[in-house]
Amino acid sequence: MNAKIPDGKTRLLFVEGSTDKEFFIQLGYYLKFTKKTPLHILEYEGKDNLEGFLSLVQTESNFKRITHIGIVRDTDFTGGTLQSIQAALQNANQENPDRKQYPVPNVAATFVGDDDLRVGIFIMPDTQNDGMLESLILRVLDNDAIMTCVEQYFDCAEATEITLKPEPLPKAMMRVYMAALYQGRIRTFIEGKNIDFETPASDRNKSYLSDIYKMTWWTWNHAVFNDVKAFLLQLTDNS
Amino acid sequence: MYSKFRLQNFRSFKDLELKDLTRVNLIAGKNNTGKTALLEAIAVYSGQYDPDILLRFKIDEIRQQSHHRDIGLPSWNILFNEFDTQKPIRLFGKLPNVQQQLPIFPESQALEISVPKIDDIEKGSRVFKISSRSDTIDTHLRTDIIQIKNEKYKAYLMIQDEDRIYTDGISLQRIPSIFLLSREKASFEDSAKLFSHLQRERKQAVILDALKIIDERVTSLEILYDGYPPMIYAELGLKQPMPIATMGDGFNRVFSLVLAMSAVQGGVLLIDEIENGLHYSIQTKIWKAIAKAAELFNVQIFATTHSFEMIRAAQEAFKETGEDDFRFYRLDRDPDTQDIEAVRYSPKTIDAAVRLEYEVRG
Repeated sequence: MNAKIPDGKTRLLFVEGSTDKEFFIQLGYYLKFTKKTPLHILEYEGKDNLEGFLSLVQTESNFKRITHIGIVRDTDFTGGTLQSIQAALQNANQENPDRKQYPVPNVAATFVGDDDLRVGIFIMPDTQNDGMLESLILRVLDNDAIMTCVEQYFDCAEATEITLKPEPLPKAMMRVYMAALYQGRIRTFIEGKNIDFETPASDRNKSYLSDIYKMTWWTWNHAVFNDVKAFLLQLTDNS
Repeated sequence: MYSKFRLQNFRSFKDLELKDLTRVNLIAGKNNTGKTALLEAIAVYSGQYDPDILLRFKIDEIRQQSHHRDIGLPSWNILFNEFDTQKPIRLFGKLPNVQQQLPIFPESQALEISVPKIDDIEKGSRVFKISSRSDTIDTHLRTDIIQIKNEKYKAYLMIQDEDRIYTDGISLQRIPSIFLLSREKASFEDSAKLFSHLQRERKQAVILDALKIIDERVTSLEILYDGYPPMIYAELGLKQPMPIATMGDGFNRVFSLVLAMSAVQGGVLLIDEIENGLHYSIQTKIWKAIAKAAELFNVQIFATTHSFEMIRAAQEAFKETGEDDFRFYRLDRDPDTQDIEAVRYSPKTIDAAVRLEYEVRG
């Protein structure tokens, strides 16, 4: 990881990994973000690294110019996700008492703090239900014909001696879905989208979901994205 | 051992503070953020009763290389932040039970401001005799040393002229220090003297153990006198012992480091670009050897680095010891004011940096 806050950026979005980063880049493109949008997305490489990552970002010289931070995390299926993020923020503050301190939100999806720094937390998929980014995508694919096959595949697998764990299931389902997609409708891409808000993951480490956003039938207008869009707009709001 | 060090108006620093210092302090930062200047400040402060140390750094280098002393010689004002001699340099160090301040003034300013203050601080305190080779004291810099201990203040005065510094009756505790420049090697004679001292104290094993990290063939070291100066040889099991001066940079670097620690027992060792000459694969072991020697000789270390590998190696070495003996700092320019600040990394934060390979060098 070589996370550095670029000059000229005042808003940061922290996401778990490259798949989430790609999702937010594509969503940002849909929301008409441009190079002038003061948002920069950084990956913290998994929930276990969030606290250390928060401490490290705090030590950067450009941190004092940051006015808004959004933190995105998957749900802990065992509960206590918000409390875990709150603890990470508090612990980072304790590790760096001389640096600008993170405000600690009491609830998800609402930015708290003052003009110096505001922080908001978004817990995937919608701050209410357990899940992850893939849970959100699966809702978009609710009526997709391939999904019926995917569900049958996992039903079949579960009928054998395999006991499926609930936590990675949405991810596993999306991987199977994407595998089928690559065999079939993959040629129906909208090609040539000029992403100018950030370098898309597909140009660096291609995320396994990258191609779904390029499908002709893909839509960001689905209601399942309303909460996450509202969060991203709060993060970049200039008022 | 310093627990805090602060410098104001010294070279590139307006006001810089290093808090929470510990046994080994590693300092990183981009070029021209003042890493070496920080070591200079600690050296000046530590040798405060020998202000001649000011002459030993860059000014001295220029003097030595200048054939004509008056040509191209920078004035003392280069020591002052933004060349502003109206603002005195102030160096503060916090040692156990004592906090001292070392202000450095241009003489003309200091005489007006500070001399009366000395009597005010403590009636009857001793102001050292000032002498000069000439009747006219043509001084450039003056230092007042103010010691704050048990709420009592003592002030001492020194004046230096263009070439030398005249002081008398030094009585306060001095902090031994050695400044190892990035490519400096100790003289053969000094090395032999220090090694002899180590042998007398029967502590030569620590240097031998450290050197074995570089070359496991080393079984012993000895001083041989084939003519002046005496030289130290390493026994490698070859036809004859090998003069260590002819061995690699890494071998000589480790030798210099441990020898310097033995020479500043109870003091500070200042090392510029510590990674020089050291292969990445042995850096963790070298840090462990440094940690062991620093504890044995009760030495505090301040080292600069440009190497992430060296930072990672230090973190790994000190994590294993379990002692809170390692601190990492980065010197950085404030993006708004361009002033240099010291960013302190807690043990947890530098551990995360190493784990995540997060850029911390500036």
